[in-house]
Amino acid sequence: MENFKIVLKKRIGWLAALLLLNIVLLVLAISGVLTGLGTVHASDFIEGFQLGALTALAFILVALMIRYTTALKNPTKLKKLYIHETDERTLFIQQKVGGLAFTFFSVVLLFAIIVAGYFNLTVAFTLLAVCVCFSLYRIVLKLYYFRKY
Amino acid sequence: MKTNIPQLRKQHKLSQEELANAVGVTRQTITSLEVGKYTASLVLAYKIAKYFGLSIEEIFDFTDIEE
Repeated sequence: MENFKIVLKKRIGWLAALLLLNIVLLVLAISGVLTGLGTVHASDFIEGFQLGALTALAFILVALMIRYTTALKNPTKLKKLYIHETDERTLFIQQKVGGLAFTFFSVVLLFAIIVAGYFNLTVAFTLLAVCVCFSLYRIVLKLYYFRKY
Repeated sequence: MKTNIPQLRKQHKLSQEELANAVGVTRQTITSLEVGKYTASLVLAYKIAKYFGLSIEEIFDFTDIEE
Protein backbone atom coordinates (compact mmCIF):
# COMPACT_ATOMS: atom_id res chain seq x y z
CA MET A 1 0.00 0.00 0.00
CA GLU A 2 3.01 2.30 0.56
CA ASN A 3 3.88 2.02 -3.14
CA PHE A 4 0.32 2.99 -4.03
CA LYS A 5 0.61 6.07 -1.80
CA ILE A 6 3.72 7.14 -3.74
CA VAL A 7 1.84 6.59 -7.02
CA LEU A 8 -1.03 8.76 -5.77
CA LYS A 9 1.33 11.53 -4.68
CA LYS A 10 2.94 11.53 -8.15
CA ARG A 11 -0.48 11.62 -9.77
CA ILE A 12 -1.49 14.62 -7.65
CA GLY A 13 1.66 16.40 -8.89
CA TRP A 14 0.82 15.68 -12.54
CA LEU A 15 -2.79 16.74 -12.02
CA ALA A 16 -1.64 20.02 -10.47
CA ALA A 17 0.59 20.69 -13.51
CA LEU A 18 -2.29 19.91 -15.88
CA LEU A 19 -4.61 22.13 -13.85
CA LEU A 20 -2.14 24.99 -14.15
CA LEU A 21 -1.98 24.54 -17.95
CA ASN A 22 -5.75 24.31 -18.03
CA ILE A 23 -6.14 27.55 -16.07
CA VAL A 24 -3.71 29.35 -18.41
CA LEU A 25 -5.72 28.17 -21.45
CA LEU A 26 -8.95 29.16 -19.71
CA VAL A 27 -7.66 32.66 -18.98
CA LEU A 28 -6.47 33.01 -22.60
CA ALA A 29 -9.83 31.80 -23.87
CA ILE A 30 -11.79 34.20 -21.66
CA SER A 31 -9.55 37.18 -22.49
CA GLY A 32 -9.74 36.38 -26.21
CA VAL A 33 -5.94 36.59 -26.65
CA LEU A 34 -5.67 33.40 -28.71
CA THR A 35 -8.60 34.06 -31.03
CA GLY A 36 -6.55 36.74 -32.80
CA LEU A 37 -3.96 34.14 -33.93
CA GLY A 38 -6.26 32.36 -36.36
CA THR A 39 -7.16 33.47 -39.83
CA VAL A 40 -10.80 32.67 -39.26
CA HIS A 41 -12.81 34.17 -36.44
CA ALA A 42 -14.03 31.35 -34.26
CA SER A 43 -17.76 31.02 -34.04
CA ASP A 44 -19.70 31.39 -30.80
CA PHE A 45 -20.18 27.65 -30.77
CA ILE A 46 -16.48 26.84 -30.78
CA GLU A 47 -15.74 29.54 -28.21
CA GLY A 48 -18.49 28.18 -26.02
CA PHE A 49 -17.22 24.64 -26.49
CA GLN A 50 -13.67 25.66 -25.57
CA LEU A 51 -14.82 27.42 -22.41
CA GLY A 52 -17.11 24.53 -21.50
CA ALA A 53 -14.49 21.86 -22.15
CA LEU A 54 -11.78 23.72 -20.25
CA THR A 55 -14.09 24.39 -17.29
CA ALA A 56 -15.26 20.77 -17.22
CA LEU A 57 -11.66 19.59 -17.43
CA ALA A 58 -10.71 21.88 -14.53
CA PHE A 59 -13.54 20.44 -12.41
CA ILE A 60 -12.50 16.87 -13.27
CA LEU A 61 -8.87 17.59 -12.39
CA VAL A 62 -9.84 19.19 -9.05
CA ALA A 63 -12.24 16.31 -8.26
CA LEU A 64 -9.48 13.76 -8.92
CA MET A 65 -7.03 15.71 -6.76
CA ILE A 66 -9.55 15.82 -3.90
CA ARG A 67 -10.26 12.09 -4.33
CA TYR A 68 -6.57 11.16 -4.15
CA THR A 69 -5.81 13.55 -1.27
CA THR A 70 -8.75 12.17 0.75
CA ALA A 71 -7.61 8.62 0.05
CA LEU A 72 -4.10 9.43 1.25
CA LYS A 73 -5.52 10.63 4.58
CA ASN A 74 -8.03 7.82 5.09
CA PRO A 75 -6.75 4.18 5.06
CA THR A 76 -10.23 2.73 4.38
CA LYS A 77 -10.73 4.96 1.34
CA LEU A 78 -7.17 4.21 0.23
CA LYS A 79 -7.87 0.46 0.27
CA LYS A 80 -11.17 0.97 -1.58
CA LEU A 81 -9.46 3.05 -4.25
CA TYR A 82 -6.65 0.49 -4.53
CA ILE A 83 -9.13 -2.36 -4.97
CA HIS A 84 -11.13 -0.32 -7.49
CA GLU A 85 -8.00 0.39 -9.55
CA THR A 86 -6.47 -3.08 -9.37
CA ASP A 87 -9.63 -5.17 -9.69
CA GLU A 88 -8.73 -7.77 -12.31
CA ARG A 89 -12.19 -7.94 -13.93
CA THR A 90 -12.31 -4.15 -14.40
CA LEU A 91 -8.77 -4.16 -15.82
CA PHE A 92 -9.70 -7.03 -18.14
CA ILE A 93 -12.73 -5.08 -19.45
CA GLN A 94 -10.66 -1.91 -19.82
CA GLN A 95 -8.18 -3.86 -21.93
CA LYS A 96 -11.02 -5.17 -24.08
CA VAL A 97 -12.35 -1.64 -24.60
CA GLY A 98 -8.97 -0.23 -25.56
CA GLY A 99 -7.15 0.36 -22.33
CA LEU A 100 -5.03 3.32 -21.34
CA ALA A 101 -4.04 4.13 -24.93
CA PHE A 102 -7.63 5.03 -25.86
CA THR A 103 -8.07 7.14 -22.71
CA PHE A 104 -4.87 9.02 -23.56
CA PHE A 105 -6.10 9.42 -27.15
CA SER A 106 -9.41 10.88 -25.90
CA VAL A 107 -7.63 13.49 -23.77
CA VAL A 108 -5.30 14.42 -26.64
CA LEU A 109 -8.31 14.66 -28.96
CA LEU A 110 -10.08 17.01 -26.53
CA PHE A 111 -7.04 19.31 -26.39
CA ALA A 112 -6.76 19.10 -30.20
CA ILE A 113 -10.38 20.29 -30.55
CA ILE A 114 -9.71 23.21 -28.20
CA VAL A 115 -6.55 24.23 -30.08
CA ALA A 116 -8.03 23.63 -33.56
CA GLY A 117 -10.90 25.93 -32.62
CA TYR A 118 -8.48 28.85 -32.67
CA PHE A 119 -7.34 28.17 -36.25
CA ASN A 120 -9.79 26.20 -38.38
CA LEU A 121 -13.47 25.59 -37.70
CA THR A 122 -13.79 22.67 -40.15
CA VAL A 123 -10.96 20.79 -38.46
CA ALA A 124 -12.42 21.54 -35.03
CA PHE A 125 -15.89 20.27 -36.02
CA THR A 126 -14.41 17.15 -37.62
CA LEU A 127 -12.38 16.39 -34.50
CA LEU A 128 -15.49 17.01 -32.39
CA ALA A 129 -17.47 14.52 -34.48
CA VAL A 130 -14.65 11.96 -34.12
CA CYS A 131 -14.58 12.56 -30.36
CA VAL A 132 -18.36 12.07 -30.01
CA CYS A 133 -18.37 8.87 -32.12
CA PHE A 134 -15.34 7.55 -30.29
CA SER A 135 -16.89 8.23 -26.86
CA LEU A 136 -20.16 6.56 -27.85
CA TYR A 137 -18.26 3.53 -29.14
CA ARG A 138 -16.40 3.21 -25.84
CA ILE A 139 -19.56 3.61 -23.75
CA VAL A 140 -21.41 0.94 -25.76
CA LEU A 141 -18.46 -1.46 -25.57
CA LYS A 142 -18.07 -0.90 -21.82
CA LEU A 143 -21.76 -1.55 -21.19
CA TYR A 144 -21.58 -4.70 -23.33
CA TYR A 145 -18.50 -6.14 -21.60
CA PHE A 146 -19.68 -5.25 -18.08
CA ARG A 147 -22.85 -7.22 -18.81
CA LYS A 148 -20.97 -10.08 -20.46
CA TYR A 149 -18.40 -10.59 -17.69
CA MET B 1 -16.77 -21.84 -15.03
CA LYS B 2 -18.68 -23.25 -12.05
CA THR B 3 -17.44 -22.52 -8.55
CA ASN B 4 -18.26 -23.44 -4.97
CA ILE B 5 -17.81 -19.87 -3.77
CA PRO B 6 -21.50 -19.27 -2.84
CA GLN B 7 -21.58 -22.44 -0.70
CA LEU B 8 -18.24 -21.65 0.93
CA ARG B 9 -19.40 -18.12 1.68
CA LYS B 10 -22.53 -19.46 3.34
CA GLN B 11 -20.48 -21.93 5.40
CA HIS B 12 -18.18 -19.15 6.58
CA LYS B 13 -21.10 -16.66 6.93
CA LEU B 14 -19.40 -14.19 4.62
CA SER B 15 -20.93 -11.53 2.42
CA GLN B 16 -19.69 -10.94 -1.12
CA GLU B 17 -18.30 -7.58 0.00
CA GLU B 18 -16.29 -9.17 2.83
CA LEU B 19 -14.82 -11.82 0.58
CA ALA B 20 -14.08 -9.22 -2.09
CA ASN B 21 -12.22 -7.03 0.41
CA ALA B 22 -10.27 -10.01 1.71
CA VAL B 23 -8.99 -11.04 -1.73
CA GLY B 24 -8.62 -7.51 -3.14
CA VAL B 25 -11.31 -7.34 -5.80
CA THR B 26 -14.67 -5.58 -6.15
CA ARG B 27 -17.97 -7.13 -5.07
CA GLN B 28 -19.03 -7.24 -8.74
CA THR B 29 -16.10 -9.53 -9.54
CA ILE B 30 -17.20 -11.99 -6.86
CA THR B 31 -20.75 -11.87 -8.26
CA SER B 32 -19.46 -12.59 -11.77
CA LEU B 33 -17.36 -15.48 -10.50
CA GLU B 34 -20.32 -16.97 -8.64
CA VAL B 35 -22.64 -16.86 -11.64
CA GLY B 36 -19.90 -18.21 -13.91
CA LYS B 37 -19.68 -15.16 -16.17
CA TYR B 38 -16.06 -14.44 -15.38
CA THR B 39 -13.13 -16.84 -14.97
CA ALA B 40 -10.68 -15.90 -12.24
CA SER B 41 -7.00 -15.46 -12.98
CA LEU B 42 -4.54 -17.88 -11.40
CA VAL B 43 -3.58 -15.25 -8.82
CA LEU B 44 -7.19 -14.57 -7.79
CA ALA B 45 -8.01 -18.30 -7.72
CA TYR B 46 -4.99 -18.83 -5.47
CA LYS B 47 -6.03 -15.97 -3.15
CA ILE B 48 -9.59 -17.33 -2.82
CA ALA B 49 -8.36 -20.87 -2.24
CA LYS B 50 -5.87 -19.67 0.36
CA TYR B 51 -8.55 -17.62 2.09
CA PHE B 52 -10.80 -20.67 2.51
CA GLY B 53 -7.86 -22.99 3.26
CA LEU B 54 -8.63 -25.23 0.28
CA SER B 55 -6.98 -26.14 -3.01
CA ILE B 56 -7.97 -24.37 -6.24
CA GLU B 57 -9.56 -27.57 -7.60
CA GLU B 58 -11.82 -27.78 -4.57
CA ILE B 59 -13.29 -24.37 -5.36
CA PHE B 60 -13.26 -24.17 -9.14
CA ASP B 61 -14.75 -26.83 -11.41
CA PHE B 62 -12.39 -27.55 -14.30
CA THR B 63 -14.46 -30.30 -15.97
CA ASP B 64 -15.50 -27.98 -18.83
CA ILE B 65 -11.84 -27.25 -19.62
CA GLU B 66 -10.81 -30.89 -19.39
CA GLU B 67 -13.46 -31.82 -21.97
